[in-house]
Amino acid sequence: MTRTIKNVLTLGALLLAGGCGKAAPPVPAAPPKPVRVFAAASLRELLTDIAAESVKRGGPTAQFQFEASSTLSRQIHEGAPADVFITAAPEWLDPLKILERFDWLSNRLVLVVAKDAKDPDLMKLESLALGGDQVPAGIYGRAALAFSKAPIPERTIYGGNVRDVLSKVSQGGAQAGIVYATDAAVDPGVRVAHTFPPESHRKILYSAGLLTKDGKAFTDALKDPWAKEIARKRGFADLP
Amino acid sequence: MSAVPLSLAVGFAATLFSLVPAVGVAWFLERSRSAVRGLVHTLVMMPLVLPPVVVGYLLLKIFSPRGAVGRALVALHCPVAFHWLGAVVAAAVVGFPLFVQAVALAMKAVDPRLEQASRTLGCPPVRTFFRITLPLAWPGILAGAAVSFARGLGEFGATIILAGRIPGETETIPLAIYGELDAPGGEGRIGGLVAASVVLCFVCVVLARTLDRRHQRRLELDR
Repeated sequence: MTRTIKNVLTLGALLLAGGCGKAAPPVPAAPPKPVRVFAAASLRELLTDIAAESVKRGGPTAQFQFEASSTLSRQIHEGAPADVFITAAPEWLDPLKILERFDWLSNRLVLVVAKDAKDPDLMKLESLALGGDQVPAGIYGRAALAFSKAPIPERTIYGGNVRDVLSKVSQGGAQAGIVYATDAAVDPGVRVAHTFPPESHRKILYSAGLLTKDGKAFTDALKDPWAKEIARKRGFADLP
Repeated sequence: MSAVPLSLAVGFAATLFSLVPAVGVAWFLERSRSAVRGLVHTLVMMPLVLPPVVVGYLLLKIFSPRGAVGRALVALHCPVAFHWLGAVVAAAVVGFPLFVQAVALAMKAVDPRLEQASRTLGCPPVRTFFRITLPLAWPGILAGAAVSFARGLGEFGATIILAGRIPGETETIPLAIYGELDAPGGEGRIGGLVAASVVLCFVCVVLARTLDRRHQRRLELDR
């Protein structure tokens, strides 16, 4: 027993020494501080692309956190460090102190099924994957179902963010799921079975909020024509 | 079913499912001289230290309706992934090491001379197990059940991946709290769930401790 403890302690000491041994790399003269961007889960690929292009054009690097806008809004409200917040529903900017905000892009809402599945009957879904009560995709989705007078099935699996909803469908957890058109486009495991008419829910608006002046270069890049072009290619709709 | 009774049901089912395997594995670990004992011990203890999310991911890989096992289970009308059973399996797997540990400790405390005496008097090993070991280790087994039940009540990481959050079916207390976190005004409901969680786990730990101490005392009297 004592020997085991000794071994564990030695191992721990070695690990510690190893960790400390790797001397911190020499500090560069002016460490470029990455812009901390909190963004709606559906923007993952788009913002990653835009950040890569922005760096090529001499812009700052970005460090992302993708989650449901509702979750991010709460985290920022409780003090999580972010320079920029891009939400999939503008109201999640309201509780926050914002230096500057603007509506950026729009999207479409779709019903997806597994890629090899038959078209489902919206009125008689066996099971549904849907964003949680506060997740924007869930709010839009519930409105769209209500508009079509379609019931929310008893077996509804609630996703923490829209990508969680998407993966529940591709993993076979639900017959169908409500996500954005751009989400369906990035998951080869699903296909679009139905596109909800735009009037069936509040307009989907991605709004960007500048939280600290360190994020200014990044929010400016979002407005650049090249960024909008990347967004169009990814299936996001430009605002008039 | 709302989150609290659902959690209790999931916890009970998970503990019930684990009972026989946990006793079997603990007996093997305590009494066997097999060469694979160390390997079995390591494997059994893995869920205790693995991130629950990893456990959940591996379980989903096994039970996913997209895979062979998952498809077979769906055909047999007992789907695991994204169903009630998924929450039970997740709770059972993460609670299993604690269960085995407690049972093994209880068996360790049983005087092996009693078992040897039984054997020398011509009683076969299986009967010795049921007539001597099991009755003497029984309170320790219950203590293990209480601890594994408590751990199952709190399962989150593996459950959210394997079973998902389906209100009334897989939405146990931790998943319900997670779901309420974003909701404006969810604080009140979270408070209730947190209180329920604390009370249930407190009761389980006290129960396990009481059983354990009673067990120790009884074994000492026996000697």
